[in-house]
Amino acid sequence: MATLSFHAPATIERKIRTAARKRGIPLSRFLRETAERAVDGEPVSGLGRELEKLAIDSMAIASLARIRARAKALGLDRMTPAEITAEIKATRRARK
Amino acid sequence: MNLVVLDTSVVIAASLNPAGASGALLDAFFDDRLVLVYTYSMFDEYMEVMERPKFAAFIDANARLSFAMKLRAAGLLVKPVAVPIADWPDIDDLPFVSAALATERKIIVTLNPRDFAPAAALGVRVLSPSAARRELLYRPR
Repeated sequence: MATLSFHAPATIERKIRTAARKRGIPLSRFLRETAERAVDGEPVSGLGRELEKLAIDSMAIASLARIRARAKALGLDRMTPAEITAEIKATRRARK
Repeated sequence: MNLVVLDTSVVIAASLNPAGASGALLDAFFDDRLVLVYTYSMFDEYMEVMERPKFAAFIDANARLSFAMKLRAAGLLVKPVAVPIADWPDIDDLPFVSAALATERKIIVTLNPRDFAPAAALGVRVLSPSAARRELLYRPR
């Protein structure tokens, strides 16, 4: 089984922990179930949707920040549009 | 709703650097100020490109999953609209045209406007990231 992890701002972390506590399940299970529902596109209740959005947003925002920090560290933040386009065209060629 | 189609080039540029207009558009999507319109083909291409060795070095599986979940949760999945035959510079851009045609405002944001030139005849507006930021994020709607 794979291990997924993410970073979240302290305020979001508190909200997620509170939501998990309210459901009476461990944090990891709460996050996994929320993610599974989102991926499967299952309909959820209003509260469920709100919690799901909270979890997804916090993961997405933290991931984006991490991606950008890594790109900067690798110097890839200075890639030109032409270089980016070349990678996309190469992906398309590889697909055929 | 502020609906827009982002070409893969814009999504990648935005992921690399928050400073530019592409970054501002992706941030606006993450803040729910902009709704990304997509089709399954576009979704597949976003993921495929992020998995390229060049990008996978910093866009890891967790990050791809997070982006996919955000897109599924906050983006607008549309049924592709048939695109008329034209002298398209790159037919692999058609899924983006097809998605734009499925929306009322028909906006595509790209770093390669020339590739989408024939789309203008279909009523599609092809904007640069800077123009899109100006029009979609700064102007009162």
